[in-house]
Parts: sequence; structure tokens; C-alpha cells
Amino acid sequence: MTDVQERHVIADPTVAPHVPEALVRDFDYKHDPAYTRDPFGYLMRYRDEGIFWSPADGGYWVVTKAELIREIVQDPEVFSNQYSLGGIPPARFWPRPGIPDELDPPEHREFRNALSPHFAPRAVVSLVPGARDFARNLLARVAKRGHCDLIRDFALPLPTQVFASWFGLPEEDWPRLEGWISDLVRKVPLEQRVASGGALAAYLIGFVDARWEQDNGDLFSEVLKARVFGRPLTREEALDTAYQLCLAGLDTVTESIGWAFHHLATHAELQETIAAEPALIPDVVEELLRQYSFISTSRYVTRDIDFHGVRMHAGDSVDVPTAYGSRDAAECPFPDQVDVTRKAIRQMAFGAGPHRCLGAHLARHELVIALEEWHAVIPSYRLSEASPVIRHGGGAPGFDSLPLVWATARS
Amino acid sequence: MRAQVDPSLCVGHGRCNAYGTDVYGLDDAGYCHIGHAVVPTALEQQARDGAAACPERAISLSE
Repeated sequence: MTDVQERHVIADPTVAPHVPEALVRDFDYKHDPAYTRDPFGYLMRYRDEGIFWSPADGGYWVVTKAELIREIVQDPEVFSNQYSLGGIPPARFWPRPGIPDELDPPEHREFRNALSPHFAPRAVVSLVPGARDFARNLLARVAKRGHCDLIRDFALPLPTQVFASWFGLPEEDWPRLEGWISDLVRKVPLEQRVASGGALAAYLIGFVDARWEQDNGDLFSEVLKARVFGRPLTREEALDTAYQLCLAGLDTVTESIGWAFHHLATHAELQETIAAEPALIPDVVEELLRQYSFISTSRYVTRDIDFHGVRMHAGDSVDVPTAYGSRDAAECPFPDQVDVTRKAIRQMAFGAGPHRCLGAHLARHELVIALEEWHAVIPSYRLSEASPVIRHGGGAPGFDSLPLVWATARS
Repeated sequence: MRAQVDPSLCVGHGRCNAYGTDVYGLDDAGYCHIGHAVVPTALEQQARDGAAACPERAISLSE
């Protein structure tokens, strides 16, 4: 190991002609290993900039203040979502826009309204008992062992089981799904992303065709019963919806559980707080979501505008890391401190505006259940020295491996 | 105190309801509806917390 880290050099730096040199920063989180090592530290070095230009990936704007982020995501006519899944530079790994994330109003509203009731707080409560059973079964396998890889043994299978069983995907297919989605979300080499995207597409086409006439009482049956513009979804629209829900529903909760447990494993005092008062867990979850808002989303500028004195052109990309919305001192005092006694936490881990994470309420339940069930069985634990913590960067940074150890009772 | 939600900004975060359960209700799709035209004095803190937690800043309070 060496303390000297090689300085990252941006490949093919691009500064569009309308971008003033004074607004260009040496920022390339998607490729800089410094970001993978410490994503929030990396982002927060630029937090006071407001609006700046990164010359990486064909060039894009970055917005670092909650108030500016709000303005952008609440204005989908100027800041379009049409490439939000492909990211920056604008790309698409699916032949059509993902539904509903890559749609803009008024179409977006139709599909979103059709789906919202199934993802509302009132609706997702029905998934809680099943999720609790999945968590208990996973914990039963590792508790007596005294160690586990939090990601492989808990954070990856739990959301997969909760989502896939709800959606109606057959259990024997879950491991394959995990692999494809992990590739697509983790920004692995382009070749592998394309291959996994193709495999997922082929799988979902088969699934949609097989299920087209069947009502199994699962979420996909509700998608088939949904109506947009006064008519049912076409086969392509059902497929595009299935694709988007699979992408969004699996990896993100894994990453969230990873960030929460990384913090807990390195802060024994918070484990003690939970042991003394498990009823605090929803507040702990909300504060850790705020502190570790890891998702970056992007927007595509549809027309030339002056945005707070910055000239943006149609076709520009805007990167919106949610961490800047959650860790803005104007929103929350001492934003880099984890304080589970905060009242009325305002944060942007799930984004904002009409594209606010549809699955936010389910994700919160899954996180609360993960912490409650884990701490009921394993109240005290720490990072293992036996194997390394392995991280990944990209638009949803987190952990590939998070080895934990704990004391077990000897019989 | 009066609480008002701007329905064009509410996107169903549900945080108003989480922190101000007796002031802010949620409809079947998860969007905010306010039960009291005038917030009872005993619920003013809930009204403030629920408004403060809204990521969209969709709720306004007036005396």
C-alpha cells in the first residue's frame, strides 16, 4: 500500500463552446478511483460551487445546492428525463424509454398515476410480513456462524426476494436477475453492460409473453390491468415498465442496506442506541438515508436557457447527485454529522419532483425491517479484518463486499 | 395556523404524514391532503414538522 494516489486524468475532456472556462472543474466521479474510495468526501469537495461543468464523458453540468436541484427536477419541460437511465453521455440500453422514469409529462403522468397506488404507503404495508420472513430466514443461516458478507448474505438477497416475489418473477430466476441488474447499474465495462442488458431484455420478453393472459394477483398482474389514456398498456409498454421496475427495485435497496450497515459497523455507539431503544430504528434509517444519499440522476436540457446566470444549451446534460440535496447546510444544520435525534428530516435520497423514486415507501420498509431483524439477532458487530471491504463507484456507489464479524454464544 | 399544500408540487413523498400524522393525511395514491382548514393549537408542532420535512417545499403555513 502506498499513501501516494496517482492523480486521475480525465479522458477526452470536453468543454462545450458556450461554457465559460471559469466554470470548468476537474471533476470525474464516474472514473476517478478517489470517488470509489470515498464518494461523499469526493462530492463534498465541490459542494460550494453551485453550478459547474465537468469535462468528463462528453461534458456535463453539475448542480450542488438543494434549492437549485429542486428547481431543476421540478421543471421536467426544460430538464427532461428522456435519458435518465442511460445517464451521461445520453445513452440507451433499451430500445425505448424506460417507463415511467424516461418519460416526460404529459405521458409520464399517465403511467405514474397508474402505478402510484400500488407503491403508496398504504399499499406497501401489505408486503411487510413477507419481507420480515425473508429477513429472518437469511439471518438464521448466518447468525451462529459469527461472520458473513453483509452484501452477499443479506443486502443482495433480501430486496431481490421482496421485489421479485411481489412482482411475480419465478424464484428459480432470481439469481440470474441479480447478476444482470448488478452489471447494468454498476457501470461495468460497456461490453458486459450491453450483454447483460440484452440478456435481461430477452428474459423479460419471455416473461411478459408467458404472463400476458394470466392474473396471478401479483404486481405484474396490476401492470396488465392498468389503464393509460383510457386504454390498457400495449405489450411493449408492459415490457418497458417491467424493465424499469426491475432495474429500480433491486440494486438500489442493496446499496442502501450496505451504506447503513457500513456506518453501523463502524459506530458501535449507534448499535448500542438501537439495542437500548429499537423504536428509534425508523429515525436511524431516515438519518442514514440523508447522510448516504448515494444516487446520482441526470437530466437533459431541452432548450437554451439562462439558469441562475449560467447559459445552458439544448442538448446539455445535467448531473444531479442527490447527496448535494441531502447534505446542504441550508436544508439541515451540520449536514455531515449523523444525528439520529434530528426532527423532521428533509432529504433527497429518493430524488424530488415528478420522478421522485416510486419505490421509496417500500425501500424505507425494507431498510427498517433489515435493521430491526438484524439487531434482534445480532445486536453487536464490526468490520472483519479477515477480508477486505470492496467498493464500487459509478452512479450508485456502494459495496461489493462488506465482511462483518460478531461474537456468538457458546453452547 | 393554516396549512396549505400545493397539489402541483406534491409528488407523494409522504413525509408530512410521517412527521405530522394528525394534520396531513395521504390519499390512496399517497398524495397529501390536509384535514383541518385551521390547524388546532395542539397540532401546530406536527404541522410545522410535516411542512419542514417536505422535500418539495410544497406545504405553506400561515398564521
